[in-house]
Amino acid sequence: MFEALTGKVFATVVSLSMFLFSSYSGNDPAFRAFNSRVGGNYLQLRTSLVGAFDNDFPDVFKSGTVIPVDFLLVIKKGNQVLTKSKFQNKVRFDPAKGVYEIYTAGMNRSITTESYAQMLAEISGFECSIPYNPQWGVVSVHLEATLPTVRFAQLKKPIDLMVLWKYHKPRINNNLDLRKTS
Amino acid sequence: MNFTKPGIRTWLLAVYLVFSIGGLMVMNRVFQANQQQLKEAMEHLELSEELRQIKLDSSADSLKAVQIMEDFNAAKGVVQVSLSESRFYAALTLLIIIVVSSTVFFVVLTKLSKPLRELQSATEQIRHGNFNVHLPETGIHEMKMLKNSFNVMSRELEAVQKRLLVAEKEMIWKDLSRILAHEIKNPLTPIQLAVQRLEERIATDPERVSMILNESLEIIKQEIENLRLLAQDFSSFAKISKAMRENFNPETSIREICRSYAADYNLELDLQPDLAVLFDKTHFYQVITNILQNAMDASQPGQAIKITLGRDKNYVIISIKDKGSGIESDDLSRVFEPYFSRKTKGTGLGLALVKKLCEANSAIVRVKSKTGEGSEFTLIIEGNKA
Repeated sequence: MFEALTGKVFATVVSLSMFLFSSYSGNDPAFRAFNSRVGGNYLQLRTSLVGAFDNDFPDVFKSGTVIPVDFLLVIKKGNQVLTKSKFQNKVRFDPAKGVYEIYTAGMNRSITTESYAQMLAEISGFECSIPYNPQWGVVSVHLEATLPTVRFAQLKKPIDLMVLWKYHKPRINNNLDLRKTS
Repeated sequence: MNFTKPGIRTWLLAVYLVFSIGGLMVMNRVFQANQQQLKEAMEHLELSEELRQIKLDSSADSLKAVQIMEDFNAAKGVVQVSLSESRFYAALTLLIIIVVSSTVFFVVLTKLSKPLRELQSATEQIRHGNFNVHLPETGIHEMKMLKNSFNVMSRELEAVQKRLLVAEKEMIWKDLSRILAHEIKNPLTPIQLAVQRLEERIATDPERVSMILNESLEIIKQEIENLRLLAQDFSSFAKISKAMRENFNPETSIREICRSYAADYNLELDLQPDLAVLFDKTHFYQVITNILQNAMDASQPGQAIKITLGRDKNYVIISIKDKGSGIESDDLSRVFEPYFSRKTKGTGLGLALVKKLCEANSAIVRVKSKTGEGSEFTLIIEGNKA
């Protein structure tokens, strides 16, 4: 709760300072609604980020440095954490070939594309399949995305990519009744 | 809505806002403009595409071109992210600087103005006569000095006030003693003379004592009565009872009072009937009697004394006008002071008593006079329709 409150205060301060003193727009990432499905003993979850990479990112993606996007998935029943998983999508631009090499962790898939739009769709997407127990009943699913600190070869100091999201972590919470889903 | 003139704090605040925040915002605008120029310049750099269009002859050239493209793209990405980072932190830092500096400014301003408010409040108390007010000598050096000076001043004022009170009490006692001695001495002399005459007659011609006995006893009785009246005057002035205001018809009361004097004095009455005043009835008798007595003392035998009773809006106006010697203009402002009198007889308490009784009944007494033409006393009393 304290963390959420601090986050809101910080977000307000950031918004106010940007509004008053800067033309910097940055990005305002958010998740689309969860799409959940059950297959066998696995729960499939799918969503994607929107508004996360619209500004400033094209040059960052083209820098040739590996740009990761981290996802943290937590499934809780009340206050009890049932499962907690981390996923990392990655993208790297190959200037020689002019292609993006993408790895999506949720489905353990690697693809290569020349299309910037496709790259964005892949890197923004989150899809995973996790084992579940139907006895869990009603659970709450929390998903949070962050950008890590990246070290560019051309720059001595590391740069926290969260600055491009104005330190706002997109989050989504959803309640799922696994008895009905199964 | 009341608007007060802006004080020093408001001016300081305005100056701070204009120079500090305004200056920071101008600086920020300049930096933002520079950053924007850099960003726009970067957007025109598309080296990788241009290099890819060139047909390179050898593999070494190709590798070199690839390396150049990689370096260029990496540098561009780094510049872009650094630029975003600097724009973000510049705005955030500016807001934090403004918030923190404003807070510090307000705290300092409050700390500076608090002692001034204390000083203002203490001065206000001094103005209301409370000299026993001392300020804690805290704060910055100049404030300590100022508070110290104020405390010294208030202590001195307190001491002066105490000395003045003692002196005033002494003066009152001296005045009172002088008046009492004088007033008591006046009746004592005729008593002493009467007793002496009786003693002489008894010693020289005891058989004819009865011839002066009655006259001497009359004198003694009269002077004893004068002493009793004197005591009564002092007593009534010292003990004015709390006013028990009631509604009554002033015309009836004035006629009752005048009846006692009608045989000896020329009283002209012009009294409007059906009026009512809100006044303590006993006090009313004392007030009218005293003013009337004053007018009779100032008038020659047979001279008219006019008493009028009328109404003006919600007030009843009673006027007692004589055609006597009048009051000197220099004395006019002092006639209601205790012990002030230009008459050969009297304590000087009559009109002072009138004023006190009027004040106790929320009434006003005024006097107009012209030497040689007479005086007019006017009473303005809260009234009701009878």
